[in-house]
Amino acid sequence: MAVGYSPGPGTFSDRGSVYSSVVGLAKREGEFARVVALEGKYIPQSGDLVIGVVKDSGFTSWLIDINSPYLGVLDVKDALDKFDPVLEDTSDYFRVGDTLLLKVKSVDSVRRVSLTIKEDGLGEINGGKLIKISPTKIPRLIGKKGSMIKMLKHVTGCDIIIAQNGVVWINGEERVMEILSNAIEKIEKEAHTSGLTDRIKEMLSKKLGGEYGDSRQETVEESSDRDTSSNK
Amino acid sequence: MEVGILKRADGSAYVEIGDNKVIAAVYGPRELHPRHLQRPDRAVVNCRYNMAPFSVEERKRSGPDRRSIEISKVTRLALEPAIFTEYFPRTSIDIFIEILQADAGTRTTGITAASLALADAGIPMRDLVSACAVGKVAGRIVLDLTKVEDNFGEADMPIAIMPRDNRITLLQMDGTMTEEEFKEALKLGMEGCRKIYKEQRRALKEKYGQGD
Repeated sequence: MAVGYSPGPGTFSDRGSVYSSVVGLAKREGEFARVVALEGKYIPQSGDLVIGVVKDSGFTSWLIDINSPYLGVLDVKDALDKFDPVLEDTSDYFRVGDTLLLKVKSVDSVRRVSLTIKEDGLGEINGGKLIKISPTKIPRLIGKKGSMIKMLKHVTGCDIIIAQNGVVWINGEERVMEILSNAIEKIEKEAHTSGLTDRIKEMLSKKLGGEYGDSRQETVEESSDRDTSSNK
Repeated sequence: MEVGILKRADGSAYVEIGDNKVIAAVYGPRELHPRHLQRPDRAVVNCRYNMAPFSVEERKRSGPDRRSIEISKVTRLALEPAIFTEYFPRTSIDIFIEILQADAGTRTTGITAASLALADAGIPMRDLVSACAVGKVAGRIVLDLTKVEDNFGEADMPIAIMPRDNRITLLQMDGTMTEEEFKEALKLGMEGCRKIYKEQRRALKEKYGQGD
């Protein structure tokens, strides 16, 4: 792949050369060579915004399915200001099956994941619909400087939360949500192609008809990942 | 060769080499149960090689047998050195290889397919693993034996390598060859693997062909 660079994410070095370790799009960023993977599971990193579903409630914690090979742990002290394990039960607050918007607090060397909801905007999510897509496609769904997500929100009028772990929450009118989830599916499938934002916009306006057609302005930038060549 | 043929699997591949037809599917990295099998420092690789009852001329009894258990193990050992297992502690990577049609060299075709499926699953690897068999038939060294050649030839030697630095991950031999013949066979086999490698890369690029 490259000589004289330092190995970034998705690459490794062997006897002075840098090689790609995953199928993806190669990039050079300063002294680092990196490969943006096209497939893969979500591996938690501290600071990530994730959407999880409560899988189990323990004595002083909840186990959260964060769409990853690793379970997340939400301790009560990262969720509540006051909690008395003698008088109260964790399931008084969140039950199995509840959907939460969380932040990854830390990940240790054996990938034990601790989560928190003690920040603005985090916590339980009600209503709406969850869509799972491949976590590697998340940057595409957001778009360059948020162009894709901005367009989606604008055209459909839905609330959208995109979490780093490949879970997308949408909320809006039933019929519009249907169309939007189809669009998101399409974005996932065609993530590596160019001119996607414009095509999706066209498709959405056609399907939605006149009612949400207030999206004439807003020029949308071209897709990312163009300066690249496929590798491996 | 075709990549990403199974929707439910994290990675998959179909490979046809001669009359061998093989499907490989990869799941993972995923949570490993039972918990006591988890390794805190790396992922565990599981591998299952299975032949369909209709894959050979005379119906094969279904289920694992002595032969397929052995092949599952050597396949795992052939693929494991290529995978960065240390990136995914406490998880497992499960590889399933199904032989749909067999004509000698199914283990090598299986390895070829499995390494494509691993790449398709987005699992970080040092290199693809490419495999093919060489043998000696009627006194001559030949590449990629057929069933008849295998049954009536003097020797059969499956090889798997990581072509980037020519590291051998699998080398088995059945039959007899002189030292000279062995060297010649190894050289021929490595060449065969490099051809397979080219095809593997082509198949991977093809999946994302429309884009760039």
